[in-house]
Amino acid sequence: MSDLLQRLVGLVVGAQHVSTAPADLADYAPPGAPPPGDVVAWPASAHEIAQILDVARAHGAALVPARRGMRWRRAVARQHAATRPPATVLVDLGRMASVLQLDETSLVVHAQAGIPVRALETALGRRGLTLGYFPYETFTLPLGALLARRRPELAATHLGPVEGTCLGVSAVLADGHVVHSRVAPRHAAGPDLLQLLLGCEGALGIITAAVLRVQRIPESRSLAAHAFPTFAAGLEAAVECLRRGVRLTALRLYDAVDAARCLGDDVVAAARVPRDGALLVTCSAGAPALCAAEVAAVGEASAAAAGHDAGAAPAEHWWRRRSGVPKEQVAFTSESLVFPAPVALLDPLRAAVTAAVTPTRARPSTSVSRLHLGGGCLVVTLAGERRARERARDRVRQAVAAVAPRPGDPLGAATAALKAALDPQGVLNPGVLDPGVPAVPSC
Amino acid sequence: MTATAQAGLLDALAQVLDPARISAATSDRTSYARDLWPRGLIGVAHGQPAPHPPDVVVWPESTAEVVALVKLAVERKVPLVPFGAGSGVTGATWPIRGGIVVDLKRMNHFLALDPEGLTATFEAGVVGEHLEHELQRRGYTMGHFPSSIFCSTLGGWLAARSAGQCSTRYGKIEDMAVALEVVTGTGEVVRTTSAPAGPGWSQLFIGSEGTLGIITEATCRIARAPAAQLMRGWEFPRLAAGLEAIRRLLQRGLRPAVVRLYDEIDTFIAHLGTSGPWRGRAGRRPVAPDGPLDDLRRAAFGLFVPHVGPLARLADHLVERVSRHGCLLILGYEGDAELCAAEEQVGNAELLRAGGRDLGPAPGLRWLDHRYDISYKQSKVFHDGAFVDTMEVATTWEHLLEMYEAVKRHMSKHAVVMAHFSHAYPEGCSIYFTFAGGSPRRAEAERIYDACWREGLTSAIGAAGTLSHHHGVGLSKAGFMQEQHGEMMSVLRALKRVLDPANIMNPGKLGLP
Repeated sequence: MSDLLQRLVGLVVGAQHVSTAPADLADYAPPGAPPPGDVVAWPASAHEIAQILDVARAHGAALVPARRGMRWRRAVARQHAATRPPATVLVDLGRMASVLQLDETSLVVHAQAGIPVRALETALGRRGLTLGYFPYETFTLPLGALLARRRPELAATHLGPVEGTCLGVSAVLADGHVVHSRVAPRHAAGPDLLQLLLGCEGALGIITAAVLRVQRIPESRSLAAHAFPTFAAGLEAAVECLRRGVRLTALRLYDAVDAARCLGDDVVAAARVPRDGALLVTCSAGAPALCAAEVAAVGEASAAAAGHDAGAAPAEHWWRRRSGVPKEQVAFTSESLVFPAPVALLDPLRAAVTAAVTPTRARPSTSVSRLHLGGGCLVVTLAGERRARERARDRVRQAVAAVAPRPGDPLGAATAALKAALDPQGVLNPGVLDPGVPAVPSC
Repeated sequence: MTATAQAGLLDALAQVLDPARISAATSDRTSYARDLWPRGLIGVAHGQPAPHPPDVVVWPESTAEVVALVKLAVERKVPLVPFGAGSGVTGATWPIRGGIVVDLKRMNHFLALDPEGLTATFEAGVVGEHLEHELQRRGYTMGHFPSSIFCSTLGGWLAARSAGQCSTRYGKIEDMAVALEVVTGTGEVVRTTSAPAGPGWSQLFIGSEGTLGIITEATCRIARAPAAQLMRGWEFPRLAAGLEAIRRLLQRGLRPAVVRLYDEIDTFIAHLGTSGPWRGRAGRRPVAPDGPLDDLRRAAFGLFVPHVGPLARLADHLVERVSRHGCLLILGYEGDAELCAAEEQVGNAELLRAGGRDLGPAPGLRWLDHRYDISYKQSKVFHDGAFVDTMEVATTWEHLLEMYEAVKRHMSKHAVVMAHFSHAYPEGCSIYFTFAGGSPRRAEAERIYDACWREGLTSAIGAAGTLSHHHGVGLSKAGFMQEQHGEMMSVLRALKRVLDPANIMNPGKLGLP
């Protein structure tokens, strides 16, 4: 079957753009795990994907969007390999990596889904533009992968999740039709059908291109830092800023341990962060007068929560390092876990996580980022030797599941029915919308 | 529906609802036969108030009752049409296949307020004015102020993707909705959230105009009542200059609450309705007794007075007269006092740089005082045999002027057309066209009216626009859904089959069967 599929898919994309070689397939699984597909194809257009889909459908094969170096757990990979359909074609959009159009009047960019976000950001940067201040992990993904899965942990403070900046997509549906959603700032032309394709991990359609809002690189930036007697006080000050309408470009609230770990003991000492306290760092960007007003508003919120101005130095240190990976993580002596949660649960979650880790020999520290009024992300960093971290990791996940379980699809049955209606043969990334079947988790 | 079938339906309804909240009276059936779609108002003016009366009208008081109604409708294969306050302008609530109209206004309770996360939960039938009042007396605002606020409901806003006059700061209703409770066409109660898995269900029910389910409850983002509100008027010599100023302003990160740029004709008409100190060069004519619409009514009549001559000549004449007055921009900031002041300072500098002339606060304050008036002065236009309607479309900045000119060129063949630009975003803007025309004969008035829409929407979609920005689709734009969505319509049809397999939910709308 693999050979037949390779030959037929090769007719579509060219023999050099399809492979069944174990070495090529291994690129799509974690080390030591079985490959998630039998054939991998590198199409150059939506039309080619539609044709591959025809081939897959005709031969009872599945089609799974994939990218090299997908990060998924080995156990899941093994389970997926054991239950996946007998023939699976992996489709890697790596050759579909162009910026199609940059509209500098409207500040929107139209790019193919296979473009690495870092490359897109570089292209935008050459024109004085940016996608926005998204977490650095965002830039390690291709655009399609970013849009195919909802990732609140990759939201930007001022823009929300990446899919919120998406104005339209092109996609290949399971029936082979290539669809293009109409691009407009807003519409009232029925339901927002774009929301069926975003976040569905390729199970309802494979996103081949997207139109995104972009920003001008801000003309100025103001950084500020405030220290608080408790983490809860710091969180209250940060949330109060948002309630007041301050549109911070980025912020981070560290507990004292995390602040020392990320910014350095000397910086934290100079900022006079109490031992059980917290450090809030903020960035305002845009017109200087607006930045100044925002910095003043942050100062007022800080004072109201018993905080004190810690000077700009800690924030400048944070800003310089925010796009890098901490030294400890590079040396594999620490790791970070990110948990989205509603604002009201962030502090209880932090307490539960800290308590859960205490019996282990891992050393925890926490921070909050990607904060908006609907929620934020608790970043839990575990330091220590590997086994202690593994034990702590499991306990952290249990604590999180107890305090702030991640909600699933509220209309699971309807989603499954929709999948059946749009893809009756279950060709596109089967199992993704069926909680009982393990699927490729991040296409 | 036959009299026997209707009697059977009434008996069945009496099993699930208090009979006092069920009516088959002619007066009720006539009242619920239409919304404020102007094409229907032409019919009203010519003596046909209820082209498609429902068989029954009901007033449920709880989600459980709505569930029972849906199950009953499925069982008896009777259409079900949700109804808010009837202020829609697209025919979305017309019960074109009869059946049951479900008026949700008795489901109007304020359920919860979260002052920490700034959200509020209401039942869907709450009228906008009451919703805002409940919030304001607690020190909050929804920030949603459609001109229909006195006669529209939260459910209606959500069903049609409504926008308020302060949308640039607070967003449209779809930006505010955090979670919904919906009774689907199978009678299942679902609660949508911003779950990380699966489709974005909230955004699929929002804008579905009752075709997928009945929204019974919604949690929406709110804001603290603004501490400051800074209104101002500006004058630009040309429309393009005003648009460029707005674009620059928003792309610098400013978020004024109110942004309204009137084209030359709309500015001229707006000036006629005032004698305030901001009139500038426009102020020599006497004030129109009924404000802008009265003048528009006269202009509309001019279109079918034989001696006026070709419409193009009239349009040229109007443009020549009004171009002297430039374009009026109303801009308003609200929120935290210090942040507003900073925004206004940055914004004013930007507008001056773009060639704007500062008219001071008066035009803005006057607009604020009269911002809901216009919707309640239309009946006189229809009474006199003319029609007036609005078409709200949107596109990105790159295509905005092209769309404006294309729509205006094509619609002006049939009616007097003016426009203002509001609901602005960093990437684009909505255009709100107002057009007026008419004929003493109903068939001819309807032909002209249909031609305006056909050519207007074709031009808008052809110029990369969207067929509606905030009024919805209903019946009036249903024929353009395929053009708008292309192959994506197959996805909408699949969605309909899944959520409403019996096709009882508001059938025949949104271009669906």
